[in-house]
Amino acid sequence: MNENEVVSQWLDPDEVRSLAEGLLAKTPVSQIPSHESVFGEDFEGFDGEPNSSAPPFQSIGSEPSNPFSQAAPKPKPAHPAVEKNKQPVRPDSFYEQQSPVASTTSAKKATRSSGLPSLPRALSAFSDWLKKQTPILAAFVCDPKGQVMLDEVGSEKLIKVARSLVHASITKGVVDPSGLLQVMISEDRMIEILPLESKEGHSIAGLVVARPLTSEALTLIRRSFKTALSRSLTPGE
Amino acid sequence: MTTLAITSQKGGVGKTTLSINLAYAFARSGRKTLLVDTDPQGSVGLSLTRQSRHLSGFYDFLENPVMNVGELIVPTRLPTFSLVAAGQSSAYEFGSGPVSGNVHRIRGFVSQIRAMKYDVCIFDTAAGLFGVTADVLGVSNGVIVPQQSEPLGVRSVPKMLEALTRMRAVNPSLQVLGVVLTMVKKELPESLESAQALRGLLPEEMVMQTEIPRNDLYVQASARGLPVGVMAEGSETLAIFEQLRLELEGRINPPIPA
Repeated sequence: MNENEVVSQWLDPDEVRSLAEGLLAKTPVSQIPSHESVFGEDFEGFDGEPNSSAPPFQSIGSEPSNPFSQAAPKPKPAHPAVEKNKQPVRPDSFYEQQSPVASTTSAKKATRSSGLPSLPRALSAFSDWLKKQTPILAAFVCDPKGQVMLDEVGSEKLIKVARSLVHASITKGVVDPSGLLQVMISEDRMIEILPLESKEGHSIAGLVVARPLTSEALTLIRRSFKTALSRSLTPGE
Repeated sequence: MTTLAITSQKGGVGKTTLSINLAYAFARSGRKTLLVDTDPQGSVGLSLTRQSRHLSGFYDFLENPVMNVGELIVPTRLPTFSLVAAGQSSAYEFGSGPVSGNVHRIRGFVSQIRAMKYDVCIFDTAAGLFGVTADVLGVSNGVIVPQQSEPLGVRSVPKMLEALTRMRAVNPSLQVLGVVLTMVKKELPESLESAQALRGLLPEEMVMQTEIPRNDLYVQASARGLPVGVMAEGSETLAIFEQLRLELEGRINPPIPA
C-alpha cells in the first residue's frame, strides 16, 4: 500500500487540497488595511465639543416599541472602503450631520426618522457617521435595561447573545468590563461588542464587521459612542 | 513589525521547539525578536528561564488592564532576543470558547511591542485553534503550522485546514506561511511515508522544504535551558533553523526589513 492509499483511507484528498488552495490565495497587500489606518490618514477624530444641534434627550423607557427597528436600513452588502481622498473629518462633524439641512444624507435621515425619539435618532446618525468612517456594516445599541435603541442587524437572538456575553464577562470577572467581546456570526462576518459603563449599568454597542477593527478605531468608536449617549442624556440641549 | 504565530490543532508536535529555535534564528540575523509564550503550559519559560515559575507574563497582561508589556520582557544573553513568559495568572482557562474575548487586549500587547521597535514577534501558542490562540491569530501577520511526521499527524490535517480557513475569515490578512514537518525520523519508514503523504496531499508551496528532524539534542537543550543552536553540538541543528528562517523570509509579505 503506497502513501496515497494510506492517506485516502482517512481523509478526502480533493477536499484537503481545495481547503489548502483556498488558504494560499493571497489577500493583496493593497487591500489589507494597515493596523493604524482604518480611519484614513486624514482622520482627525471627534474629541471636540459637539455643537448645540444635538437633539435633547427624551426618555424612551415609556415607548411602547422601538419604531426605529422597523425603519432600520438594511446592512450593506460590502463595507465601504475608507476613501483616501476623503475630506478631513472635523471633531464636531458627527453632530453637524444631525442637522436636517446639513446634507442630503441627513435630510433623508430626518425625513425617515421624523417623529422618532431623540436618542434613537442620534444613534442612527451616529451609526451612519461611523459607517462612512469605518468598515462597519451594521450596528445595534442596547441601553442598560436591555432595551434596543438602534437595530440595523434585525436579529433579536444576536442581540440577546451580545447582552448575555457582556453580562457573563462582567459577573464572572474574566474580562475587563470595558473590554471587547467578539462573536463570529458567519464565515465572513463578526460582531464586535463594546460595553459602555455608566452609573445605570452597561449600554452595549454591537458592530457587524468583516474583520476585526483596530484598537485605535475601537478606542475612537467607544469615545464617540460615549459622547453620543452622554449628549443625548444631557437635559436641556 | 512582523507578528508570527506558531500553532497547530494537535498537541505535542514541536511548537515550542520550533518557536524557540526560530526566534533564536531571527535574533541571530540581527532582528530585534520577541518570543511570547501564550501556551498556558508555559513551555517557553520552562525551557529558557529558571525563574519562569515566578515571572509575570502574557496571561497576567490579559488579566491586568493597567499592566505594560515592558514589565514582562525577559532579556537573554543575545541582546536581540527577548521573551515574555506565559505568566502566573490563574485565568488560563479564558480560552475555552471559540474566541476568548481578549483580542482587544492582545492588540494592545502588539501595539506596545511595535512601539518598542521589535522587528519580529513570535507567539508560541497552545494546541487547538480556539480561545486565546484564535485571538492571537486574529492579530498575527503570519501563521506557521508544525506538523508531526507521523500517520496521526497527517490525519489531523483536514481539521487544521478548516480551522485556519475560519481564522482567515476573521483575519483576512493572516498569511498561511506553511506547514513545517517536524519530528522527522529518516530511519523510520512510517515517518518518511507520512512526510511523503503530506507533501503529496498539500499544494507544494504550502509545505516548507525544510524539515525538522527528531533529535535528542532538543531534550538536552531543554534540560539546560537553551536553544539548541547555542549548544556546542548544535551547529547542524542551528543550520536547519537558519535554513527555515530564510525560507520563511522568502514567503513573508511584506518582507521583514534587514
